[in-house]
Amino acid sequence: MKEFFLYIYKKVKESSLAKILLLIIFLKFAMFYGFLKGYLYPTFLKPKYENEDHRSEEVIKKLLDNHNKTLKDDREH
Amino acid sequence: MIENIDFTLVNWSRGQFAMIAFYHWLFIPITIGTTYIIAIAQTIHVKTGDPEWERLARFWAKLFGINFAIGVGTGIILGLEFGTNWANYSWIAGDIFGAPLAAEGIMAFFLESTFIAVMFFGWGKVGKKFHLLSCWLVAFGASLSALWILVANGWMNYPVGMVFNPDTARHEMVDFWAVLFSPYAMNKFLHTITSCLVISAFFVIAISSWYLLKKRSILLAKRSIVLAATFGLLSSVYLAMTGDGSAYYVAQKQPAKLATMEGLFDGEEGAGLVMMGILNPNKKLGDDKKDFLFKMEIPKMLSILGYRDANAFVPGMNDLVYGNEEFGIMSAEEKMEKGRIALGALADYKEAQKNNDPQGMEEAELLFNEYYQYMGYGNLHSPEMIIPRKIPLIFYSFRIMVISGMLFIGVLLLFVYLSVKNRIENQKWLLYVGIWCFPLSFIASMCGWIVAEVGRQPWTIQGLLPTMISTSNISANAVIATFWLFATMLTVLVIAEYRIMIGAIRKGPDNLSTKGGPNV
Repeated sequence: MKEFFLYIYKKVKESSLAKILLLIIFLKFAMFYGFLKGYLYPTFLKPKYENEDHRSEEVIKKLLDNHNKTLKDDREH
Repeated sequence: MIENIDFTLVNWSRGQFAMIAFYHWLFIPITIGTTYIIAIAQTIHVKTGDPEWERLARFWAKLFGINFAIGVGTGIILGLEFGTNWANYSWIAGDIFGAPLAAEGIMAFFLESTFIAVMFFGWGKVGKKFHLLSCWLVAFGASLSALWILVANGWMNYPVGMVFNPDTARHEMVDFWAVLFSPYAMNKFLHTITSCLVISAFFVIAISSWYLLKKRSILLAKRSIVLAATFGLLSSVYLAMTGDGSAYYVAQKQPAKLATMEGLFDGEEGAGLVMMGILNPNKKLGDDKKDFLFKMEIPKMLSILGYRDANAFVPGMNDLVYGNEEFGIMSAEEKMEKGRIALGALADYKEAQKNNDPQGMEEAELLFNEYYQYMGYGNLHSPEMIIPRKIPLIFYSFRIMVISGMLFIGVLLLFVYLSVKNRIENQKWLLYVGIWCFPLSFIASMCGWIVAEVGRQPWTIQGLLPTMISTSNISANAVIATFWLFATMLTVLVIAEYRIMIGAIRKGPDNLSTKGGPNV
C-alpha cells in the first residue's frame, strides 16, 4: 500500500496536468470549506438561533404568521 | 397582499440555487456517464487482451479525471445553501432530506474517492481484474451518489414515508424504504441517470468525431464512436421509456405541473399531446381566449401517457384552480380552506401546549392530522398560485427536451449503423451533427430540470410547504452578494475546465502508452 502511494506521489510530481488539477482541488476546498463554511457562513449568513427549540418556534411562527395574515386579508375582502 | 413575505429574498434565493445547480450540473453527467464507457472499454480489453481498448479507456479516463477534479465539490455550496438561504425548509424537511444527503456523502467518499485513485494510478500497477473491478465500482459509486440526492428530490415532489411532528414543526421519517423506493423517486433516478449516460455518449462521440474530421487517432476514434453510440442508443431508448414513466407519475401526483407542461387550460377526456405549438401569450386563467396560436397534437396521447387510458380525463389548469365537480376535482379555494384549518389546528395545539392543556392538544392534533395533507395550501393567498407562473418556460422547455430526445435516438442509430458498416469516416455531415449534439444534449437535460423544478412551483414540498415559506430570515442583500460571489467562483472553474479539457483533447490520445502507469 505504501509503495502504491509513493508511486502516486512520484507520478503526480512528474505530471504538470496532475499538479494543476491538484492545485485546483486544493484551492477549491480551501475556498469552500475554509472561507465559506468556516468563516463567511457562520459569521454573516447563517440564521441565528439560540437552540433547537428556538428554531422550531421561529419556523412555526413563520408558518402561522403568513397563515394569520392570509386570514386577515380574507376578512378585509 | 402578504407583506410579511420578502419576495426579493425568495426570488434571489431561488435564483442562486438555480444558478449553482446549473453550474454543478455541467460537471455531473460526464462524471457519471463516462465511467461506464471507461469500464466497458476496459472490460473488452481484459476479455480480448487488445491493448488499443486499454488505450481508449485510459484516454477517456484522463478526460473524466479533468472533469471530476474541477467539478468535485461544486455541490458543497448547494449543501451549505440549505442551511443559510433555506433554513426553514431545512428544519421542516431536515429529518428526511438529511438522511439521503448523508448517504450520498458516504457513498461518494468511500466508493468514488477510494477507487478513483486505483482506476487512475492502477494501470499496470495492480492486478488487471482488481483494476477492472475498481473501474466498475467508480461507475456504480457515481450512480449511487446520484441516487440519494435524487431520492431527496423525488420526495420533495411526492412526499411519502413521514409524519409531521407539531411539537418540533418537522416532518419526521417513519418509513425509510417508502422514501427510498417511492416510485416517483425511482423513476426520477432512472430518468436522470440515463440522461447522464446519453450526454456522456455524445461527449465521447463529439470528441471522436472531431478526431475523425481532423484525421487523427482514427482507430481510437472509430472504436470510441461504436462503443459510445451503442451505449448511447440503448440509454436514449431507455430514457424515452423512463420519460413515459415520469409523465405518468407527474399526472398522478402533480397534475398542475402536467397541465402547465402541456399548456392545457381546460381539461379534456381523451386529451391530445401537443407535439409542437405556440402558446397564446394573452391567455389567462379563467378567460375564454384560445390556448394556442398554433398547435399540432397527437390525439388522445396525453390521456394514454398520463393515465394509461385513451379516454381518461386530464385536468387542465382551470379545473385545478376553480374545481370540476363532474370529475371530482377539488378547487384550490377548498384546499386553501382545509389548509387554513390545518394551520389553525397547529396554532391551537401550540396554544394548548403553552397552557398545559393535554385535552386541547389532543383535539387540535386530531384536527390537524385530518387536514394535514392540505397544510401548504393554508399559506397561499390566491387559488391561482397553485399554477406555476412560468407557463411558457415550462411548456417550451418540455418540448425542447422531448424533441431533442427523439432526435438523439435517430442520430445515435445512424452512428451505430454507419460505424458497423465502417462508413462513418466519410460522413462529414454526421460527424458535425455528432459534435453539435453534445451541447444540445446538455440543453435538453437543463430543460428537463426546468420542467421538473420550475414546474413544481409554488412548492418546495409538494402541497405541504410553499417556496415562499421555505427561505431563511436573512437579508436579501446577503443572498444577492453571495449570488455574485458564487457566480464568479463557478465561472472561473468552468473556464478552467474548458481550457484544460480543450488542451487535453487537442493533445489527444497518441502520447498515451499501453504499458501501464497513470493517465495524467
